[in-house]
Amino acid sequence: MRAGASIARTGALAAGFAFLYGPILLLVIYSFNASRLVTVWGGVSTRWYAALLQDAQLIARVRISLLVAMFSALIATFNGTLAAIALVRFGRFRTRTLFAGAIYAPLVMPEVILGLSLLLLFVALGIERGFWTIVAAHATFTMCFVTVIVQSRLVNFDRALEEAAMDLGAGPVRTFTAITLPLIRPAIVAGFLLAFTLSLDDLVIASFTAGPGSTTLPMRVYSQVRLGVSPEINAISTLMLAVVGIVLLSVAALSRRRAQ
Amino acid sequence: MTSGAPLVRLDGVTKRFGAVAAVHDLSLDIAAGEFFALLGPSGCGKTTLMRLIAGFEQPDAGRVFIGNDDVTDVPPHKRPVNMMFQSYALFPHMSVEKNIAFGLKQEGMPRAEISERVAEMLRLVQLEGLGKRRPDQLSGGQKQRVALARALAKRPKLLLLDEPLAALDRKLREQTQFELKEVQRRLGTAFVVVTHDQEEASVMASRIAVMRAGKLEQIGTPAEIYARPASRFVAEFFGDINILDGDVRSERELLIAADESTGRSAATAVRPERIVVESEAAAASAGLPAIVDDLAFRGSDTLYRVRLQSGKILRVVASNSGDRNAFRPGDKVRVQIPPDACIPLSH
Amino acid sequence: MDSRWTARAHRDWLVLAIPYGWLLIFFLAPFALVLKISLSQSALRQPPYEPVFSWSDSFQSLRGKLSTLSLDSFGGLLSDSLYLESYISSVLVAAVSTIVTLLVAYPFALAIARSSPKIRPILLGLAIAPFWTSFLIRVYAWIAILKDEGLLNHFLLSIGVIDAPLGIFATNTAIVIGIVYSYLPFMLLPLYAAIEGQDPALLEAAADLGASPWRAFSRITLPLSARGIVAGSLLVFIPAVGEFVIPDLLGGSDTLMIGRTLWNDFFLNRDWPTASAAAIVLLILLVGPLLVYERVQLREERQRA
Repeated sequence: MRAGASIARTGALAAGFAFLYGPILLLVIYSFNASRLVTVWGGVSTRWYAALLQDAQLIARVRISLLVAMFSALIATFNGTLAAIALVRFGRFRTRTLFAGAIYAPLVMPEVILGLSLLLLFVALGIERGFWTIVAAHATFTMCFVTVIVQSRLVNFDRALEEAAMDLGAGPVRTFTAITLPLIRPAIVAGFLLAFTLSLDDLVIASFTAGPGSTTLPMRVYSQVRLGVSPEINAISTLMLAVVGIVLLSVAALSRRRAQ
Repeated sequence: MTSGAPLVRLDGVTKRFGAVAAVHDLSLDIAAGEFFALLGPSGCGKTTLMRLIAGFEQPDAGRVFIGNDDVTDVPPHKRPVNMMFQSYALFPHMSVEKNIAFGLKQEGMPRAEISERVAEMLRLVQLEGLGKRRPDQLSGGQKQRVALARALAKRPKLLLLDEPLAALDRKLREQTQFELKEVQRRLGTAFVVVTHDQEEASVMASRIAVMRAGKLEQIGTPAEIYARPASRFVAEFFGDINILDGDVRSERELLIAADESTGRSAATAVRPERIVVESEAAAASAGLPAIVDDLAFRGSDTLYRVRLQSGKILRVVASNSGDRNAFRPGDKVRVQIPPDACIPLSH
Repeated sequence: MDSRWTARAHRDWLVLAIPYGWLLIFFLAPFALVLKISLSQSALRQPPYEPVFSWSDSFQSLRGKLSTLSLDSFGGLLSDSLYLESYISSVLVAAVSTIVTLLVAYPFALAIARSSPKIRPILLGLAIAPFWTSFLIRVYAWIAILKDEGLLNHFLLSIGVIDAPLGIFATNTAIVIGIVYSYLPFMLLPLYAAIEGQDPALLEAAADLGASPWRAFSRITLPLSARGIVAGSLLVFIPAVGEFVIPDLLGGSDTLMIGRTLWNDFFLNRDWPTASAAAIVLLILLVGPLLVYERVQLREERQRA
């Protein structure tokens, strides 16, 4: 009976991971395909990677995407953490439901609605679309993810630790910086990474709120994808996967080491 | 017992949570250097009272004084009171030393002095050598000592202890009870223990306040409360007790046999160990007839449940000193109550 | 009482005001704008609509303006079968996708939750890791797999299972596969949390009382995970209705989804009022599920507080 259950379990896991990683593995493999066609294997080649490195425009897009992600994630983490504190610590206040609703809604709202509404805002205010409009837009929709992550950590936070700090003479601000903040830091960092990734990855909202000189990497990839499958995109994808993989692994290794 | 101005004075303090008053118009004095206990069942308001003294709650009415200062509006980080938390609340991201030093850092004490004081505290709680460890590397008992050391590091005038022995097993509990007494005696700090365990309170404290539903039922030394409980509640809460209501015939006989004068009260309380029980044969028809219903062997003594002819069950404790024959269920016995064992209860 | 509370009140006010202010400006106000623009007329100018209200309006002229409010855009929507079909199709596709995602994610979540505690976080991390890579790229990968000259057809043809390409690409089926693949973590995480949080002793008690493993699952594990199922389903369904990228890349000319229709109206036809009206109607469509979602979230929150 037990053996049967564990076989089923292994089967489910194998199927799940195959489904998840299959397409990704295929992408990586074919980025080294010398032939343009997916169905023809032309031998291993890195020519598509070489072509990438020569594409100055592409590299500019990557730079913009990284900068947008950095700035928007910083703003989102700041706002999101404050919002989490307000939600968890402030109990009932007037218009709390509206506030909480405004926090949770962007998590599920279709991106076309978010993008459209933000564009209309910029137009109505007479703000030129450009780099900072994307930053503001991304900061808005990713802040909610940060709030959710920090909030769940705060809710499980032992208030007795803060009371002990105050009992020992630390004022409210001191207590926050010396006790609360260090202990919720992992959640804040996780929130930042998530906001960064979401921004890096976003197509729809960026399309609505970007200006002429500030197209992001996903926008560029999208316009190329519409023209069809091509190995250059495979190469870009593999590179991005590699970067993300390295970042994730190092984060995991760091947190493993700190735990010891 | 208490001389001079009190260290802590609560004056008509009330604290409400929603519609319920956790503490109701309560006034209390605690003297400097005494070991005081707040005792009561869960929900009686003792924890709220402690938090009012520490400053984590603000009273809805009444004032709180520490020393000569009205501290009602003073936040906890400015009060000369420290607390040992029930969950210990050790800072997980700091070593034992850093934990103990935390309060001293807030005062702005110079680093050299801090090291000295921390070492002194570690010696006091017998944890020398464990300074660099982190809380998750300590046993439960060790964590508690760190919590104690941390709370005492600032040499507060008053230390509040929130159910300090609740998480410990019996042997450790006993040992810790005596150690806490010793520390308190040595330092001369006033200790206020909050507990629901009457034994704990009696062993450690020199004065106990029994609380119920937000009000004080009785204040006194353990011996006073035990021998002369002020109410039925205190009699039942504080130690094992038999309550005799005046109007049951066989009980009245019991009282008449004891002493006419005590029959005047609405109810009478008798401690189980004061009731004399003898076998039918040995009693020679003195006392009331009864049958042993059940018994619980407790090592140094035995608790008997003895049924009178009226059906009333008395709890009787007899020590097992070896020369007595133990009774068994079904044995016929006779019970007597000495007159001075009767405690009149007014309510 | 006062000096202590004033300092604290100022501090607290600031902590709340900053995020609240940001959301007011960048989330709540834009919605009001979408509503306003949906009520105006399309025009050949930049931006392509006649503003009905402007900052300089006085209160009297406001009343006059109200009479010129045009519901043309909304009327246009209702009479346009394209939009009607788009809405219906979107809801259907999203619903099917949600169900399929649930069916795929549940065994997976169960398997991870039942694994030994040591490897659980690793498995979970591995399951979530693809989410950290580009969404666009992962959808793109499916193009290469599903199209007629793609890997799946090539593989099946070569081993003789089929005679002609399956023709999955550019159909609703491809869209469903894309949604399931992309939104899997949103279903997986709440499910996993709901299953993992159950006391293992419950199943032991059930077995002790004579229940077969299937019975124990269907009577205990499944019902207790209801909260996770609801949360996960909402997290997939609501955004899926308005999805743009997946229908655009994996769908064809005859797959209609509202996200795409809206996009085309906005960027290709330059018809902002209609696009705004479509967005409003989409929001109205989603109000039901959105309210359920908010209720669930707020209830969770209140329980924890």
